[in-house]
Amino acid sequence: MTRVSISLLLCCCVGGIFLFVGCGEKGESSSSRAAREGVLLIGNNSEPQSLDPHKATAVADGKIISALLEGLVRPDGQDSSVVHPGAASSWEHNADATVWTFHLREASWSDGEPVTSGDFAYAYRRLLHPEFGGRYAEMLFPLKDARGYHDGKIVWEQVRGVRTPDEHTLELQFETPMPGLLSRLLHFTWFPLPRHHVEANGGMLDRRSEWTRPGNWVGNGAYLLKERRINDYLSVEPNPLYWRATEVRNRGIRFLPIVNGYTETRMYFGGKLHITNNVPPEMIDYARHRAPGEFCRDAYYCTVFYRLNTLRKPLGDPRVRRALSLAVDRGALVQRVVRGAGREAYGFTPPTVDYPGVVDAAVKDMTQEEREQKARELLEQAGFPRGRGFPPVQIMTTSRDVQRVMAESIQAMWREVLGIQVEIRACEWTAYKAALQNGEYDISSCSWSGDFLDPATFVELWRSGAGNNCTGWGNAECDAELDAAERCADQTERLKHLAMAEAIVLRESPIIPLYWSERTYLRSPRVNGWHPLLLDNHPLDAIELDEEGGKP
Amino acid sequence: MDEPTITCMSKVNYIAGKSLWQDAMQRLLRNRAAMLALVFLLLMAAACFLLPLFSFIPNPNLTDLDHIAAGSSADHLLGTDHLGRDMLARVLYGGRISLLVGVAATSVAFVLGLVYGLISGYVGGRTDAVMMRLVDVLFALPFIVLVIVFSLSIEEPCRELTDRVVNATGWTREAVAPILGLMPLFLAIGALGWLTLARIVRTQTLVIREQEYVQAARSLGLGHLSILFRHIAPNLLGTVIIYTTLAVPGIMLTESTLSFIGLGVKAPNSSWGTLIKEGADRMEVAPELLIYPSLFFCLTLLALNFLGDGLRDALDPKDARD
Repeated sequence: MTRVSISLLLCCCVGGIFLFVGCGEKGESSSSRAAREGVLLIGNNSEPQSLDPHKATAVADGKIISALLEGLVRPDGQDSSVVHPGAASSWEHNADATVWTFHLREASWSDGEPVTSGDFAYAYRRLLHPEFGGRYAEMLFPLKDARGYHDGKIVWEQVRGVRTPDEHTLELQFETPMPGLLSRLLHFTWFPLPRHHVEANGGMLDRRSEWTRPGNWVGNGAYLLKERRINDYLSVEPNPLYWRATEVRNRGIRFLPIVNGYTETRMYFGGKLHITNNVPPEMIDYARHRAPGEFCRDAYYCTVFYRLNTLRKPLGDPRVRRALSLAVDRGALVQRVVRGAGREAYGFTPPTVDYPGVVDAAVKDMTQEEREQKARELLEQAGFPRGRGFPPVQIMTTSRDVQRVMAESIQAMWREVLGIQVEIRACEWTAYKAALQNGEYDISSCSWSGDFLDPATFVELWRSGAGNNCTGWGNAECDAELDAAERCADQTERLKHLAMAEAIVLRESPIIPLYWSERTYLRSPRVNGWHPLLLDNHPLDAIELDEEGGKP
Repeated sequence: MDEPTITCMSKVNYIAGKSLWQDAMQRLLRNRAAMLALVFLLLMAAACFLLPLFSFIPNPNLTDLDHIAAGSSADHLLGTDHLGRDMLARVLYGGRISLLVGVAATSVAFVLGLVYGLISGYVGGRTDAVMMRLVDVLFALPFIVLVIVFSLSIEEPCRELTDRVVNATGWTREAVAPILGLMPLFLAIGALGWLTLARIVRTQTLVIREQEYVQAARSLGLGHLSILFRHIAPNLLGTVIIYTTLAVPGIMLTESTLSFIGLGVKAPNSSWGTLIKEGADRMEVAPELLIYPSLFFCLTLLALNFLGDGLRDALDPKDARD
């Protein structure tokens, strides 16, 4: 009996200590200290795969790279469709926008070497190099002869797309008119590389080059890489040699890789972050209630969807893919699982003003019961009446909370509507990425956010063999439409071709569009100069931290 | 000459012999906390394994997106979770898996640790040194990493086994998966959880084999195996039982850790570990999702600890209270 009372006493002591510590934590929170020091603390989803712009593909990596390197133009803080002069001080293009000439300003890398047009040409050559294997190489394919070089058919000297008449002039020539080029240039695939530095660290094709290591970093962006602690934070400090160094509004940024949105939200309320990456749907009401002025819900150019691996049975059968798509109750998904932070997607590209998007009208107008009926019929035609004999398939997701909950509810929908059993495999981000890129999955839970403001950033994914297609699906007709779109000078005509390509994708369903998401996050009132952006490409140097803020 | 002696013997006021085990049993029965814990554990096991057989417990994987995180009602005694699944059913089914993993993995560890430690301690000498260094090496490696590598490497054979069972018996995959899908986990935790036990058993064996009764047995010409299993094993069983009871909570915790990484229980099935993880994420929004499974889990762990304590008191031969 005494043992019991002693352990009870111990429990009370421990509890008391926790309470005491909890009350004692009235001191300064890390977010207010950071604000005083002018350092922005920002949640950045996952640990970056790479800081090398030619190896990165994830959104989290792009945000850091955009702080460290500067392209020809830089983004506007208030409108994703506006750009400002960056490394290029001015530019002009010919009448049909096939040849663009950029005049670079006098700027230098952080080690004092001048930024030249050769650094841009070097970067483009590296990304397109047939032996380098850049995942995002297709971003540069509109450049004249770029594809030929990438496929190893011609040598770099024959490529007409990139020319450097002198150190401060860069001439880009395109296969087709590129009126929307400037928006594309904001993406990190168009950034320059410090040629002298990359060459000194293993050379162009060294994929293990250590030129991006802290202490060994050379960049031309607003910030310098300061410190990196895996799974803790990555911090950057202002680059004194940046040409706009006097206009950088803060004294550094700390990117925190927090995958779990619940943890992130909790850290925010605990005073450890200024801006979070994501509030999970279930926390929306709580966050809105607790901090009405700090909860943000922005429009976002992003689609959440499932990729189906068409090279695996039974997903090679379009009837099966279609049945799976029809059996998903998107209304319930958006209402109950995403809690309204998105719109039901019956097409892939999120609708914009110029591009209303393609929706499967027949499907959209059906009621959910009709869709489910149709799904059952299709599955029966494919030889699996009521799901009998359907081989075991897996949904692969990242360990991200929303994705897991979504996978569980879709798993239940398929079980109840179609009678099929699917398993869920939750992977850590790098493992997920590798499995996706190697096609080692059945169904994968994905999201794609636009890299520039044009439907091509979405539809081009589904070209046969494209680096980020990953479904094994390809269709000659669809490719032909995409090619036609690429050759089109007329914008409306071009969008029509893109729409036709998208209609083919939707008919064949190598993907299941689920919803067009919104970005939900928390932002401290101390943060000034942050505005909703459709592409979520915030120029972080424009953010000013208010020491006082509205928070205690 | 013989007869009087016999009469004499029969006249002795005969006290029924009491073995160590009977003594222990008596002591255990007298320990109120341990008995309470035992009853609680039996009830818990009965609830987890028998209650779901009745129809008033709904399917734990049936989602109802119109009733998400709803409080308790007549249909859902403990309310529903974040996908509208019945919480009581999920806690009970989760308990099945957690208890099963606890018992199964512990049994594997028990058998392996006992045999390994016995051999090492009994044979002694160079064999002992080699066997114990191997244990040291395994100890030096991070346990969780080893479990992950091991469970991944036996995942494929286990999957094939599942397929074979499904084909042979005609049961649905859904019915078989929660148990057979956990095979890699049982085996991995069990196969690597025996290290401490092996050390304890070995030390005990070293002591016991020098005891007079073992020497007597040896001088009478008893075989090694008989000595091991007739004389040594029963004498160290007390220690082993105590250790095992106390190890179950640890093993249940390992299971929940692994389920969290995605190697244990696969969604939509749950164990207490995964339920607590899901609840912990949502504790501001729906605290009861955390409270119910934690309550079940904690009480079970507490009961196991009390039972272990009671067993230790009961089986301690030096405890000369009677």
